[in-house]
Amino acid sequence: MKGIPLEHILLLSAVLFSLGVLAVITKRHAVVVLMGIELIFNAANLNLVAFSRYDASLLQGQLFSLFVMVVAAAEAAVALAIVLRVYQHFKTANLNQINHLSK
Amino acid sequence: MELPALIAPLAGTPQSKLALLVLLLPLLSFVILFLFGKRLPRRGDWLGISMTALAVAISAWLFMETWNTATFHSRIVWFSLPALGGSLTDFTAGVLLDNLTVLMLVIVTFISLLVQLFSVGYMHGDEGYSRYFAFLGLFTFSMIGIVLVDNLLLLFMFWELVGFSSYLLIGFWFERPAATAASKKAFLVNRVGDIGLLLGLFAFYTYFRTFDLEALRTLIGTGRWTEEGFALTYILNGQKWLVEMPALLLTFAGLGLFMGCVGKSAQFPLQVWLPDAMQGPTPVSALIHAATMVAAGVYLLARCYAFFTVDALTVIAVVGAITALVGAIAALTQYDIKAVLAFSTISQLGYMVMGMGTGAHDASLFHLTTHAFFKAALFLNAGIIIHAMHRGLHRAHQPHDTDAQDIRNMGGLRRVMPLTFYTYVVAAAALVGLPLFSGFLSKDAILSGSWAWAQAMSAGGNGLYYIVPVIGFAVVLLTAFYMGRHMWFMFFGTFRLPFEVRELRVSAGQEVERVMALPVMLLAILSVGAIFSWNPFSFSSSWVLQGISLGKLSEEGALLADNLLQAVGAQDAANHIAHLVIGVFSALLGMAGIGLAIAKYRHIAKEALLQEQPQTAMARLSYNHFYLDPLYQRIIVQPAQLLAKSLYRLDKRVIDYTLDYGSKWLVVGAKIVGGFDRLVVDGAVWLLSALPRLFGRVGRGLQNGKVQSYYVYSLFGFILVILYIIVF
Repeated sequence: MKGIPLEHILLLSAVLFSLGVLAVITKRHAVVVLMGIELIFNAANLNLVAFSRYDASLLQGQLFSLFVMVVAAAEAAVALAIVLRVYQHFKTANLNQINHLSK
Repeated sequence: MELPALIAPLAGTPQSKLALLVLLLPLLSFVILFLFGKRLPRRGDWLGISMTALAVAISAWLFMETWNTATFHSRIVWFSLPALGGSLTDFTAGVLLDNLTVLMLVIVTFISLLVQLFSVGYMHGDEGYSRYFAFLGLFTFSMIGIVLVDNLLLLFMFWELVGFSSYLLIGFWFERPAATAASKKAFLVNRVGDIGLLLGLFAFYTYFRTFDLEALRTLIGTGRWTEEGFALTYILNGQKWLVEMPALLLTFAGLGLFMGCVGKSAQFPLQVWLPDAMQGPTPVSALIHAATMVAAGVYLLARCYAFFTVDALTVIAVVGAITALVGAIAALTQYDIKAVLAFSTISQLGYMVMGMGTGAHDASLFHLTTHAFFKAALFLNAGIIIHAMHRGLHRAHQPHDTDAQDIRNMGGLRRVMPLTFYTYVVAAAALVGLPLFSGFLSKDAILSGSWAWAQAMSAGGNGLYYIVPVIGFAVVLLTAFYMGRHMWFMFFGTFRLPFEVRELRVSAGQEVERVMALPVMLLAILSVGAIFSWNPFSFSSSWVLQGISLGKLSEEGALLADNLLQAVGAQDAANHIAHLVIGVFSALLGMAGIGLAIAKYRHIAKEALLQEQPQTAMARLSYNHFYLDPLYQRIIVQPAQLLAKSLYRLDKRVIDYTLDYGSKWLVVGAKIVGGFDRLVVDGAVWLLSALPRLFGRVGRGLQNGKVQSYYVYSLFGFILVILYIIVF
């Protein structure tokens, strides 16, 4: 089987993961942080898809990445809802200002 | 012999209760006069005198009751001390009235009364008038105590009281340095003797387990001499005790008691306090010399006569003879009117002690009695003369440094002071021992006794014992000489000061204050021999002597030196011719002494007498009392002071210095320990609290509430885990 070599995909996945982490750590807005988390998910999915070439008969890696996407969609909905509630409660979505357990 | 039975309480009798009253009357007068004397009318002299007069009256009644008729002894348990074995040892206190006690009681109270009467005139106008009478009361109380008590412990307490009250009276004029020095000297010298007395008491108590005089005498009566010494048995706490004492120890115990007498009765070598003691008022000197203080020592010897061994008695006799000689020689050259009498007292006390030592116990007490009266008469007369001299010097406006007590400044007084002269003559004749006067009887008795003693002691062939009676005879001659000289200086020739001798009289018609004349006249009458014996030439018929003989005072064989005393008594009874010879010889010696004195001084001019000084080396030796004072100063006082000073220096330089530096080093040590505490101990505790604080601060910093930081921490941890997996 010929195509893109595995190292390239793993490199791309690592870059995506690093960018996601960077976004999660540095961004102030909660929604942007969520976006960073999606990048990390996708870096993981990319790895799953890439490694599924060693399982050509069953493609368990590609299947598992589909599950991840579904769960990630649900998780994003829940997380956005939480961000919305937090915003309503604290009147801000800036994570630097949300450092108290209650107000 | 059951010891507790010997000291069982004895019921009181009216006589013993009255005797207690006699004891307490002077004490009462002391307390009242000391506290309120200055506020009483006449400053309270009547109080002291009436109390003493009452005491004299009661004493006289007790004398009648007791003399040759009965002995009253009352005793109570004073206190009890726990002894070995859980039982109690009883200490008793009591009053003993026998012939000796009542005789002394009458003498003490009577002389004290006369002295107080005399003092009304003599001390008139003195600042401390009421204090003076108070102290006389205390003095009389102490002496009566010594006489009345029935045991040695109480006797010692009163003994010390006598010492203390004599200190108060000798130093009565405490603003005079000489008087305070004399009182201190008397007190300290007496302490030396008292140490011996105390040791004697300890020794007797250790062996006999009681202080009671009667019990001691009875115990000694039950003992016997063995090879080892004196042995006796008694029952104490239900056990039988056999007590054996070496003769040497008994001798030393007796000499301990005698040391008390040496101090108080001014015996050689402790007699130096007595001449100084005349710094007190003259009536006090009369009291000290006649009745209260110096008599105590002789009384002690008489009371404890049963406790002296033959050796102890020999020492006593020799000390007495030396004292008699030393006192008489020192009296030969004195110029102070009181100094002559003071040295004469030393000499006469030497006689008494010599009499005690030579077994003439009764003669010695007899001499104590007669001496009390004639010496009191002499001293009170001396007081009259000093008083008159002061009056004369004051009226004639003489310089203040003229000595009123110097007999060189007198002379020819017999014409203006006949009463004083005649009473003085009677008393001096008694002192010299001329026939018909009291001193003749008692001195003769002592001389006969000492002669018999020397005969008995020399039976073994050693003639040295004859020295004692020979000294006795020599002292008769010396006594006569110094009294003759003394009288010649004062009463004969012409008055040697540059004013009329009439100025000495109170007024032209009156020689002396009546209150001062009466005691002197009474005492002069009591110096006549017929008062004491119906036959004034023979002492053996004296009622006093018969009343205080050994047979009357103690039971048969109750003496340690019984064998010797019986031998002396037998020898004395056999000496018919010797008695006669001794009597005549001593009378002749007395007259010879007076004759010598008159022959020496009658042709010396008035101016020469006024300027007379001790010329020869012997005379200077006598005048300075054998240089005993400088000698004691050199060998005792100065070393003691040197020791005190060096000890003080040692204290200052070594002990104080050490303490000083020790304390400084202690402070340094404390500072070091304090620093350790602060740095190490406190620091450890501080560290213990500071570490959690530090950790807390770090932990608090991590938990800043920011989601992203938590994420970073977990990521960091995740990376660490990955690293761990990769590396290992």
